[in-house]
Amino acid sequence: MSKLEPIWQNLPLHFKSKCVQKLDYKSRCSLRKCSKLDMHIVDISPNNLNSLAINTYENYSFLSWSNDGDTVFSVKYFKNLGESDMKIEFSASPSVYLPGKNQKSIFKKSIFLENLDPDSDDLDFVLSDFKIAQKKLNCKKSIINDFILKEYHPIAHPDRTMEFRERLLNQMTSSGQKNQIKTEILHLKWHKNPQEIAEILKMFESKNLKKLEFSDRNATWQMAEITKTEQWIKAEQLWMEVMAEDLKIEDFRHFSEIQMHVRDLEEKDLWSVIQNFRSKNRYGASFHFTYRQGEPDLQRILATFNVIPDDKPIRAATQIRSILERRINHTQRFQLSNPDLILVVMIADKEVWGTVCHVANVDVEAKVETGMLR
Amino acid sequence: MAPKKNSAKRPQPSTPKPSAPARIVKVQSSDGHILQADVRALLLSSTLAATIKGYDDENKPLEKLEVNNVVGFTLKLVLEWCEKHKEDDPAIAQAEKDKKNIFIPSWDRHFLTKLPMGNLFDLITAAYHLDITGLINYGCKTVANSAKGKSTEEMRELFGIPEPWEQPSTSTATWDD
Repeated sequence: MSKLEPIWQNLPLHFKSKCVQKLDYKSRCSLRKCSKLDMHIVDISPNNLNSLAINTYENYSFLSWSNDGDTVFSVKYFKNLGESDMKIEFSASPSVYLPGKNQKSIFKKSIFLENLDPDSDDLDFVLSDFKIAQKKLNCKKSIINDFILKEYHPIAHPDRTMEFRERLLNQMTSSGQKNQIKTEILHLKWHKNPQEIAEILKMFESKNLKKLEFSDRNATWQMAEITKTEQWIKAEQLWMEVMAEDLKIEDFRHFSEIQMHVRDLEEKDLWSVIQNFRSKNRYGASFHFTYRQGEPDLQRILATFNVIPDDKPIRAATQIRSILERRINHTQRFQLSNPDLILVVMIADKEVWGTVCHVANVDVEAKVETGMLR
Repeated sequence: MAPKKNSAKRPQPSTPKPSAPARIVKVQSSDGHILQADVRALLLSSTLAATIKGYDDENKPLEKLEVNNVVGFTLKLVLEWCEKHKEDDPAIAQAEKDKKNIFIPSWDRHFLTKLPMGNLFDLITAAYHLDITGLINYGCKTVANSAKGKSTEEMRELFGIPEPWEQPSTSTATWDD
């Protein structure tokens, strides 16, 4: 029998695409560099990632991703305008560091590239790589202007952040970006500009987008543009670490999980939310409001209830839940039409929670951790 | 040893059932080699299954199947794989079709990784021609595993990709330079 040589370049496209789909992201990138045809195959093959994040800091830009959710790969790009050298720091870390059980860092290496265009900076490189990663992306979580792993990074200069946002927005909304990005969760850290945020939202496939996470901690957003988008209307979960100026209860009635900051929340609005969750009658549905300025007035809230106020605290089974439970001033249980389910509403000094639990499992399922452990 | 993930979903090794006697037919490769195979093994190929059904529907005796686009050496490998998997539930292969991470059972891992890359490519190409989902899944995953973690240069060598190509330096592939 004659010896057969590998004939990758002669193989059918769909076969190669199938192999590419089963590659980890870094190997895809290596293959992408082999030939023009391989670049094409990589670009047309679905890119299944657990998470993908882009951000910029004072001296570097940052791209990170996870293939499977267990390991997070990060690339830091250090390059100044006017220089032709670039330092790249490539590292891998476990997504959860357990002291004594795993290493905080799996590996870290630095690469120096020379003879690059002096007119380019690190933003050019990170944006280019982000664009490649987004081609045919099918991702559990896309993180824009934030990070996957919580670790220290120096905050970028405001001018640099503004430039990053402007260029990222231009890239994402340019005509070259044909396909909508498929992601289940979009985490967007952006500064108040409803039009920009609405434009970004529209880049994501609404059929896939289940959860919206917005972060702009000390800002107040106008939501009218955002709440009109199909992506807002079709999403099921909302996480807002930002105060919304003009958000009405009707705007978020459709969410089955809500976690948001509010300046204050009128008692009648809270009651409307409670009634909405009672009518949803859906196991696991929950809400959590953090009051940033006002405080929930317990007596006035209880006065809105159509049941007799009855404080029945949960019996926390773990030490941490027990500590967290201590901040709750009143726990009210509401019957639902499904007799197996119950809505547990908990009111603290600055927070109000609601969780639809199994009647028999209230002590375990009431989401007392929400708002504290993130 | 600790149990591995998703063990419930893992395909179980085939075990012959004490059922009806095997129905053996001849299979001829494109270069004229004649091999023998159990019809149950051949049914893993949607292409051959359709041909066999055609014969059965017309009550015609099936003496020999011709496989015109697979050479004898590769066809032997295909039949060996099908024989091993003839009792498998086809739903498992279908369910694994678009998954990034699939578990390759030890027999298949050994069977596929011992092949030189060229033979493996031929085998997967034959699996495509004959539409054998399970073999395509395991074959592609084996190719992906062999490329995993390799640099661009190592991939060129592994896959026999000829000329180096100057890609714009903005590529993420610079990481392995």
